[in-house]
Amino acid sequence: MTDAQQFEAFLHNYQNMVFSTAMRLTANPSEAEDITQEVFLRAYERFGELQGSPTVAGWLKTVARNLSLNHLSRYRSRWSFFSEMVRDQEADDEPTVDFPAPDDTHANLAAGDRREFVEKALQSLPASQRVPLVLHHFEDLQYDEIAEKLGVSLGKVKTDIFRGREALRRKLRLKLNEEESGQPCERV
Amino acid sequence: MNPEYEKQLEACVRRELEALGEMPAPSALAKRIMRAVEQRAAVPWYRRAWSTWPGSWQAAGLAALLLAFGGLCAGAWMVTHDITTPGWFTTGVADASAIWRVLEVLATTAASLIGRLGVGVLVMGAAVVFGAWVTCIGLGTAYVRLAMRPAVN
Repeated sequence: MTDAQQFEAFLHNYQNMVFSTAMRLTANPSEAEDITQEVFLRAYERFGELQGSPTVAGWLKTVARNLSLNHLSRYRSRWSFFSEMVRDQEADDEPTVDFPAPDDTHANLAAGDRREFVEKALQSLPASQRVPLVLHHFEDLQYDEIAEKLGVSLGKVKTDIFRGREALRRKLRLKLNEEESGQPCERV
Repeated sequence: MNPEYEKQLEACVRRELEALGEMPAPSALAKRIMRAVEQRAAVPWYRRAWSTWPGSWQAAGLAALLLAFGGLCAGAWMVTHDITTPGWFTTGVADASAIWRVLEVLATTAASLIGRLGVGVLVMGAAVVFGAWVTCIGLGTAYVRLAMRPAVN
């Protein structure tokens, strides 16, 4: 196997993981693709070291996460005045689903469709709620680590994550169950 | 916030998110990345990041950088301690002073021109610049709102 073939195999093994991290943080497919490309270009430069390393997945995930957060803070702040603030307000005011979800069918969606439905709901959250939520649930960061990474207070992280979960629950039409029922919630 | 409710909500959302797994990357992405990698590989080593240079060139680059920094420090020390400077240095300083004088003359000319134009023309000019700026902001805002609004299926 040549170096290029080895790298291609490596790329195929990890591209979904890197793309998922970038996509969930940025909620923008083209930005996520650019970030994925940058992650693998960096990996290519250190391919010799990374190839047999047991921590390669962690390294790729960390680079993807840091690049996504850098991207969000560098580029989004430039136009957030015009768009993001409006979305934040809308998300707080509007408890309704903002993408198509037929009332009678979505509870019975097939697993693949269900995943797409949840991904869309997650992506539709404003960045201020989505980013800490993703960092907590997918990147396994604690609240204080998230606060440090995002440069915000611990209280804001807690509030944003709570709001994000609440918005997600509404968008996915989840009903919390009584404690003794075993399941935390059910799809209505 | 009710802690019991929060706990239950967290468990509920965690269950939904854990069921997601990885998102499939677009099928064309791997090809695009491999093309970028090939382009990157074709770039000569000296045009890549310093950290990727061959070891000997890294050492040479570092030595050159340290030498330049040392020279700069020594030069600054010689100037501040009034030590006789070499001829090439004196010529360099003289050239820099000549450039500075030219810039000074240009600035004085611009200042006198502005003085002769009068306040009315200046205010009008400022108004035109402000108008252009507001137009750019307005068009930019409209573009961002149109381009970045979420797609309605």
